[in-house]
Amino acid sequence: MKHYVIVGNGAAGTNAADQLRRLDAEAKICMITEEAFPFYSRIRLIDYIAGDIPKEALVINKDQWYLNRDIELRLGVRVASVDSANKRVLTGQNEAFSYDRLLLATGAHSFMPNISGMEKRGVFTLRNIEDAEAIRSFADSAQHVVMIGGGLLGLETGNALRRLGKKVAVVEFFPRLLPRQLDVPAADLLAGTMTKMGFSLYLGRKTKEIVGSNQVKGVVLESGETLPADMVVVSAGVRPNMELAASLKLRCNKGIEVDEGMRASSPDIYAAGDVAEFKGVLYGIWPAAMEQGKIAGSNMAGVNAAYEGTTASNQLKVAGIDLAAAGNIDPECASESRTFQEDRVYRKFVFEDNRLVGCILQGDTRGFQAMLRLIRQKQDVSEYKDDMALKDFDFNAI
Amino acid sequence: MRSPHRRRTERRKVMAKYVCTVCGYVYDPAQGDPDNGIDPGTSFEDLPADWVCPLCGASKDEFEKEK
Repeated sequence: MKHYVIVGNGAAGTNAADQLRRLDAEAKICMITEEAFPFYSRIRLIDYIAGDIPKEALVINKDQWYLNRDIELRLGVRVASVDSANKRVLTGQNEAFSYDRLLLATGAHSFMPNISGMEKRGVFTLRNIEDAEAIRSFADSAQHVVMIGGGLLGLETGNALRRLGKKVAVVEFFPRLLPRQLDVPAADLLAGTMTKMGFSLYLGRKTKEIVGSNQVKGVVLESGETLPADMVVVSAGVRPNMELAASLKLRCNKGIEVDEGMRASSPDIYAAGDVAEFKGVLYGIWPAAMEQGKIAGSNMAGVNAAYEGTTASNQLKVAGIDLAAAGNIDPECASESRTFQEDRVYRKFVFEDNRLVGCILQGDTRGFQAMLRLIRQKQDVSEYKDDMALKDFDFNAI
Repeated sequence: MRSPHRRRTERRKVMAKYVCTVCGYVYDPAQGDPDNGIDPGTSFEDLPADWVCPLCGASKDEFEKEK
């Protein structure tokens, strides 16, 4: 009987465990996580902060899910080290778990930029349930919130706080919002909409310092402006949790380097999700973690499966703003593209060799799933290219 | 003579599959979601309002009918 140990209970670890059980009915499967909750939705933490759902509703897999699959879940347990010579995982409480195959699905943590004053009371990041609880309870007494970082998480969290009645300012180093997902026209349109909703936007600005004695009082920008703030939320991206990988001396770059079977550089050790780097890419998105976890689970169980990458796709979950982007959105306008713009609607389609490689759908996201399929299938769309820029083009017709 | 025809179109509509726009999970009424107490044969429309995607937790309104 095989022993599989999975470190981490996010999208990658959970999908791997599920796949292992599908392929191996007998094996002992153990998941170990520092988190206090079973598999839950990070995507919905913003809904919890906004008060739309209770904390319990974040949990995706209840206890029954683990029981049904005979998967052991150890919550609140930190893995201290891995003894790869003897194939054992050691916890902080000196408990040992032996493994035949090990999956590192340790995820990522919020990046903390080197800004003076980050340690002050009232400065937060958002990554897990505890962070969300802390933000929610502190927000009760806050009036002015400054979001450092105008990416998806920053805007969605900012919107949750705005809905709680806070004055929200967003500071973004890039001259436009969502620099990874939008080109200039799309970002301008979004900025206009968000300003109307009540956000104050400070684009192309760098944070110099968070000021206040112990408690946050304001944010000073390098341009000289001081923004009043009794709460600061930093959303400056994430970094993989690499401690175990480093102690195992696995080949790493920004993340743990894996092959198409999600194998790391040591025998019987696999990595998947936000901690894994595939062909130089750290995906950092839920669908990629799910897919990688499944592939890792297959290969760990001895069934060959190859990962082929995931099409980057994101939607901004802010009520009143319909915005979705996928693939290469060609921010510098260097590739062939077609666009449509009218009032609050902007669509952009990016082509390479007559194939759709990316798109932005704003103001009206109907057809996004069809576009994602087109990008994945690498279908020749030369006959549709010009029609795609038409106002009433039926994207499901392709 | 109209009612059998109508029933057939309703049935086809009711049993449509829905895709989660966040993670790509497909809700198939024929399979239901037994882990979360949803019996096979339950249409997407009949799922409880607080039902969420079993793979990523997205709410029902994040689903799109599969084409």
